[in-house]
Amino acid sequence: MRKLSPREGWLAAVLAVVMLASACAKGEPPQAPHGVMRESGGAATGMDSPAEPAPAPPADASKEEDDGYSLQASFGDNAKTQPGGPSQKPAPQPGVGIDDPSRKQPILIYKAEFSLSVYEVEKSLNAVEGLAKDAGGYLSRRDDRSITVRIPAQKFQEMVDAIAKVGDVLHRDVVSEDVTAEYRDLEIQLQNQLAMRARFEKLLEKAAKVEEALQIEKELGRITGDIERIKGRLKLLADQARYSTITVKFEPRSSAQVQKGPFVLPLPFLNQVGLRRLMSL
Amino acid sequence: MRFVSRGAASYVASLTLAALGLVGQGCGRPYEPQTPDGFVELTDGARDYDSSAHEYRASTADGVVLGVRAWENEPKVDLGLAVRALETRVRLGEGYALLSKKDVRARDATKGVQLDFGHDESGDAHHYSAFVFVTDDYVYIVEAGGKKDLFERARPSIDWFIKNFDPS
Repeated sequence: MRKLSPREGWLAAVLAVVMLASACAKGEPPQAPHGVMRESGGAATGMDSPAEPAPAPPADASKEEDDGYSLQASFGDNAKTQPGGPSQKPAPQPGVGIDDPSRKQPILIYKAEFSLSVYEVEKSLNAVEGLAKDAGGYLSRRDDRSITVRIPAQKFQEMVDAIAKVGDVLHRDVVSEDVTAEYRDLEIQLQNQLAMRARFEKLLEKAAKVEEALQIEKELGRITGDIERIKGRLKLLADQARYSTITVKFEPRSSAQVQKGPFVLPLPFLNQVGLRRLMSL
Repeated sequence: MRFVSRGAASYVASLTLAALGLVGQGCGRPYEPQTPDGFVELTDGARDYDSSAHEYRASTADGVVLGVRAWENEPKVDLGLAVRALETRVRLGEGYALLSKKDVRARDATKGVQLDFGHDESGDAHHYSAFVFVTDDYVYIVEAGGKKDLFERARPSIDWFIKNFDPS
């Protein structure tokens, strides 16, 4: 092999750097698996001001909930796109993942909790119940000061926006829980248990002795119990993914929540305002 | 030698004492309340009456109540801070619904802020308005409250009260 001239050496070095740079360039790195996303807060102003926009379902949850099922696909996709370009996967639609036969959409459970001011409570409770029914949902629980409704997951965002207009929102907590991994695990466990049950049933047919048959029956009983438990859990997750849960409470914030700092304002009137005192004649 | 008769002296003394009584009752307040139509002033026999805050209270026959209190502005606060503190306390701490907020002026043009709230008391919707005025010397809180429909009926009188409120 002949020795390279200085010029050829420089060219080779430049070429090597360019090749190295293009090999290292890739899209955004995959995010660590993310189980629960939470957004909470209260409206800054009262009923006349527009409520702060409710959070949309995570726009790039398909990246964030990287659970190993689509990891290789992500790298593959990103290798074909511009270096540093965003993933082309669309945002997951609420309620879709559970019914997606391709198993590519994440399964998300949405829950929201509101604290509204204690004003025209009866009217507001009726309004929330009405909104839920109009959205194709149903009442889960109701008492004098709170209400829980279940609504189709596709209507979750719309419902959160609508409830923000029912009264003065003192606090809002929206949680999206990714249960894809658990659901897939349970499906696999169920398949395995069903297969095992089938094998034990065949063994039972061939059992010659009573003791053998009893042992197999005992195992079958255990496996059937596991199967029912797994089915129950799958059903619960599917129900929670298809129908989101929204709870609205009519209550003030506790003093611990209102006074988040370690100090107390030296304003004597602060503890002596309100209707109770004014109207105590 | 006597310059004034005993009778005259005791007459003057009585007049002086009466005048001092008037001063103690009303003129000692750092503001001048004008009781509006439809309201009657309540004396210091009302429960929780706060003489240290120079309290004034008046009520209609059907229970809409007007109240004024004045605290020395020490440590000094400005209008913005006083309003924010009160709004936070009433809204978040007591669960009142903030319905509106606007600027107002007292009779002597002192700037103030009016906060209108709604709150259910024993299942009935009530309205509660708090007017905050701050001067160098005092923080004034004027409050009005009552059942929603009764409050609306008394609102013109309450608005008149604020327009004629003199924090000086």
